[in-house]
Amino acid sequence: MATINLIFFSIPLSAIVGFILTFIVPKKIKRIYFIEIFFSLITLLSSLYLLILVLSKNFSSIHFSIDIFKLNSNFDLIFNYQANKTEIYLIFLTALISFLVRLYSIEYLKNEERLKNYFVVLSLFVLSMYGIILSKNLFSLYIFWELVGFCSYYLIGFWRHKEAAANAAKKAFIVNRIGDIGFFLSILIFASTYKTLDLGNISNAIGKEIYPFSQKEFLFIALLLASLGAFAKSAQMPFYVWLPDAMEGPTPISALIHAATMVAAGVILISKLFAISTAEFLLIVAYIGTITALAASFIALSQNDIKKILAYSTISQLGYMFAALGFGAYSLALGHLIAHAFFKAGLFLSAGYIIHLFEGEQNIKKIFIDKKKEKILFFSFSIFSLSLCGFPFFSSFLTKDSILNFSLIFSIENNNYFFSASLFLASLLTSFYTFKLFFQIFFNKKEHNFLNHARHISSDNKTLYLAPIAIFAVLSLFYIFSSTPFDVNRSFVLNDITSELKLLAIHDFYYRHIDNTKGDFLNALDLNSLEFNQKYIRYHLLTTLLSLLMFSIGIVFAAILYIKNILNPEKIKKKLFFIYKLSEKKLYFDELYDIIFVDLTIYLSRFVAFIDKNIIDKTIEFVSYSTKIIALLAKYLDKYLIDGTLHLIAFIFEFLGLLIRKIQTGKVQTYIALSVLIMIIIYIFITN
Amino acid sequence: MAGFPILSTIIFLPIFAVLIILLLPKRLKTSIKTISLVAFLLQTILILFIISKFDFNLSGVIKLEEFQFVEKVDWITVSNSAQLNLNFKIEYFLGVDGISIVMLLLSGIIFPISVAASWNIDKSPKGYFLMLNLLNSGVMGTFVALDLFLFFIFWEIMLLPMYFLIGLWGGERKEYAAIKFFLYTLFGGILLLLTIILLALSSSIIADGISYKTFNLIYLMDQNNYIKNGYLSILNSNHIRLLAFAALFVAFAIKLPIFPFHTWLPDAHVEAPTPISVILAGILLKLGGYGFIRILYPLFPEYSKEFAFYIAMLGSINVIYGALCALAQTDFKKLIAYSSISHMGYVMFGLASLDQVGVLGSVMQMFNHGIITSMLFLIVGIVYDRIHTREIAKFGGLALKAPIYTGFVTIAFFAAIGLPGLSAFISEAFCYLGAFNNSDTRLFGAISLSGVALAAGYMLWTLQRIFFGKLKDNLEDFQDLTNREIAMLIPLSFLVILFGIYPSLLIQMLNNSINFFVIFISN
Amino acid sequence: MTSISLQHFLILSFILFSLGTYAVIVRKNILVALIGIELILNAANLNFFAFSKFKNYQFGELAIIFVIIIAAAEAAVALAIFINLYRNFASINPDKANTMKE
Repeated sequence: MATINLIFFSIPLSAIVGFILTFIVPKKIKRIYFIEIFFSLITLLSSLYLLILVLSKNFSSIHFSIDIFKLNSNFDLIFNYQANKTEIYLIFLTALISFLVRLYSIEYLKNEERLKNYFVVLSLFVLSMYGIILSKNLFSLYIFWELVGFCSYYLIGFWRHKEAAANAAKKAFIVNRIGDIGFFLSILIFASTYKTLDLGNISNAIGKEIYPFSQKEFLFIALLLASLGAFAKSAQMPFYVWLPDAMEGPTPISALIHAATMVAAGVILISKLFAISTAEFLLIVAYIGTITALAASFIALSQNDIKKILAYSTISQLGYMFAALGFGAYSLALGHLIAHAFFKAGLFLSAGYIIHLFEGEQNIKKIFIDKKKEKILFFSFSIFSLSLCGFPFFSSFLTKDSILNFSLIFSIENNNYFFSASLFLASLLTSFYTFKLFFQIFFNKKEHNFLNHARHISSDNKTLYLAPIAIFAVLSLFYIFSSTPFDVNRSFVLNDITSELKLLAIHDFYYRHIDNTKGDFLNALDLNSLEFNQKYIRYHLLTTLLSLLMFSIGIVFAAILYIKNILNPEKIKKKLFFIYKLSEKKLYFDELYDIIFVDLTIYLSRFVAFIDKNIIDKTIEFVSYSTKIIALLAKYLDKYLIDGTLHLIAFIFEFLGLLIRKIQTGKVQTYIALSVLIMIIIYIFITN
Repeated sequence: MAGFPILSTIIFLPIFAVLIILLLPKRLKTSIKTISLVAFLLQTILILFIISKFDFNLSGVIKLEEFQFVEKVDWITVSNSAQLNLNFKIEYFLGVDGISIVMLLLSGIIFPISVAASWNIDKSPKGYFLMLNLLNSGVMGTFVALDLFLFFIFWEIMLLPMYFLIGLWGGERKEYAAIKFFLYTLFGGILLLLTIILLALSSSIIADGISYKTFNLIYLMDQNNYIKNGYLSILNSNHIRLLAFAALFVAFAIKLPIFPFHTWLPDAHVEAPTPISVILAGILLKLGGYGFIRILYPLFPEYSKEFAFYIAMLGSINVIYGALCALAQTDFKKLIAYSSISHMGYVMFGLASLDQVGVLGSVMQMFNHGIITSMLFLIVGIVYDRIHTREIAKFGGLALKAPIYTGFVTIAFFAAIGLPGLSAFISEAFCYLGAFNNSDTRLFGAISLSGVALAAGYMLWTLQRIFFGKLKDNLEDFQDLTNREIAMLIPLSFLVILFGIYPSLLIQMLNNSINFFVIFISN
Repeated sequence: MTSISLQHFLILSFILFSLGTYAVIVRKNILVALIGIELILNAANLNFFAFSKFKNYQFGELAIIFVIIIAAAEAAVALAIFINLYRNFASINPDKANTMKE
């Protein structure tokens, strides 16, 4: 028991230690990345060991908690972490992909001056990813969620002298932030209602029918807000705009973050919330997922940049995962996540290799690779493409096919064929763009000769490029999931994950909940009922045939257009001009957002600043101005009224004085006359 | 050690330095700076010493016996005017509890750094450091004074040095900014004085058989000490108490600053020299918040509860308004000033929530924001020192020339955005949590969340415009950070990260005080 | 014919007195003013004589002698002043000697 704990804890610990050491060690040391490689190897081996335990049914859950705040209140903010089988699968996934990506990065970025920073932030990212996977507490999840966002920002904008990269990083962070507002708001709702943010406790409370603000609608609102964060992180509609721009970052980053792990965090969040989800909420998730799957694959049709095609493909496949969650197929969503991670990472690494061969050219119209010269690449790429399209014998066939099956059943159950129609159409489009990419690169020899000759790379350098690609290719085959290529019910991975759903105490609540809503809303699927299993088998063959049909149509069209130019794609483009433009301009979302969010906010901010400067500040200045006026008034009052009175009195006296002075005429006779007069007056007064 | 007046030492150490500096001739510039630095570092050491000896189980707030390092001496006593019934008792009363100690810690960190930032002042450094030391005294005194008269004295002591520091060593419009700051804050000070006098007049304590009017804050918090039907007793039914609350609110609102009393801040910050901006934003703004917690709320608890809705509304207006204004600025320093206004809004609505987590978040936000905003202003100062302009449009691509600088800037900007792992996230999150718990303030907590996206918007946009992309032509000789600048930024970054990862250090200091505070106010 | 009574003398002296006052105050010739003063004095003399005669006022005749003597002395002094006045102001109009005005 102790050894298992030790091995388990070595995973986060070596991640932390690796991060700190890489941060501290000065830049000048050559091959600083060996620290990281060493520690991530430890992580990989530990997670492999745990995986083997899981596969051999010897695994029991591990829990631990950290009290980071030590609050003395009734508010529970202790961070709980747990590792069940699902988490072990996801950790192994992250560990393996990050290890291979690190190896790849050593070669890809070998001339980069800021390599140390790259590895530091990369290790912080992996650490945060583990945090997201293991968190049982929403607050802790949010912390790592944001950290992952920061690492994504830094790594997208890694080549910061490029204006486009800096813009893309900023866009990614801001779009994620907007989603995070929703997530945080839902955390606030949960916190104020349940006084705890531990998902287990919240689930228990909801099971006892304690809803936020005592209304079930608020649970729906809280879930919806949290899902905004998930949709932003996983680039679903309408938040997907950041992911294609994020391709400005180095390709290994695109492989790690934007294909395999960070964008999967949204799916992980919804799966964690699955236990407390309501049917209405899952319906919204299903809608968003389906719409995204369709729209993204539509946009991918017109793209000509390798990484952008892969980015839209990622968005589309994530849509499948969300749709699966929405239908109630929890384990299929996570299974598809695992399968997708491997082949998408492989695709991105291949793309990086191709770009490296052509010294930075990313437009597939200008690239051609001779399959004989790059055999490993060719084989791996074909495996990835087939897996992406869900072809039998490859890993995602099991999951994608089942998702399609689920969608069919869901649509039939609820008489709403939107879901199944969209998803099947999306799979058609998927195979089209996938093979457009494939054929353009490997089968369509371009006219200008110098673009046809890829650079020659010495074979020892090639290893670091090709080994990870090959490993991913190997992992994209069926056996990672199941011993048979066709039967999803025998998939050990999926069964493990589903079994956990049974273990969650809320399992009963969820299904009880569905019963309550039958007839009012669209019904989620009860995966365990007998009738469901029967439906599943009944429609399975139909689904498989349909999906194969979609696949064939897609690949045939792609072949027609892009191998040896049987039909000219240019003419088709002209005919379908409007549709093409719609696709090429990414459904005009960027322009829309630019107007609504960017321009509006800037105008609003300028308006507010204008008010601040000219109205509020002017009010203060008005106060000071009026004070000055009052002071002026007082001055004049003082000068004219008070002082004036003084002057007036003085003036009166002066005037009187002037008057009286006139008596002194200097003439004797006047004086005599006056004195006679006065003597007479005095005489009269005396005698009276 | 028990009787050693350690708080008075902390307060008067800079005065002592003032005396020494006065005697030194003007040309001994380095000595003047060194003396100030030594005085401030001594203060920091003393403060750390206090923290180490501090008993965090005592809560303080209104209980006299639970304040620590108390110094209480009768200072001015007027006891024979029986016919006018105006016996006064003014005490020299200092003491710390959990909240004060955190503020002292903040001051102890920021002041030495501001001296380091002022090292290159060449225009009459003697006068500058005299003023700086005086300012320090005033600040330290305000945080520990528990007698209202003494509090007011220290409050006013801070005002005059600031006027000179902004008005003589500032930027282009320094005189305008200085007089605006001075008059505005003085107006607040007058309201403060009025209320203090009114409070004192309506109080009554018995000592030695004579009934005195007192300025002692702790006594004033106890309603038993008021004259029945005095001006401000609770039983009094006329509106004087409400007016007093409003006056005191405005006085501290001007300092915080709260919309619409905030317009002095952009001018004062922009025109002040860098180290003064650091002190202004890092410490002086917190005085407003501290005034709310220490004075306004305990003296008028019933109004604090009643108006929580409006206070939270003002707080969230601050957040959003400040963020929008910041977005529209073209002057780097003004942008940081508006972002300060925005962040102080969190303090308001966290406090208004009267919830333990919320108030905790509010005080932590004061501390964390102090450190982060000091970092931000230092960063602006670094750029201004080299290029002598603050217009964002003139910058571009600085990351290529100054990568170390860019690293620090990234830490500071993301701390301002509220990234988890850096200190401001915890305090902001707690403010939101608290605001959401209280039904009065819930709406504003939700509205203020949009400020989060706006903060990310203007900060990242600024980061990009200044540091990323192509290097602008006039920036060819941009030097990376000097050792002095690195020495200033490293402790701040370290603290930002430390309190981000390990916030319980701060929380432990504050827990008991805030618990008690919340319980007291809610009754 | 009525006999001459006291009143007649008094009226005469009053008339003389008024004429004298008129000459002093109104006439613009200082010599005429001097004559006026003499007239006043003589009017006073007449008054004294009348009372001495009709009311047995013993002092009356004495007073007449005094007044005549003083009048003479005074006239001498006055003429001396007038000569100086003429020397300083080149005129015998008293209005011209008004430098002591105001």
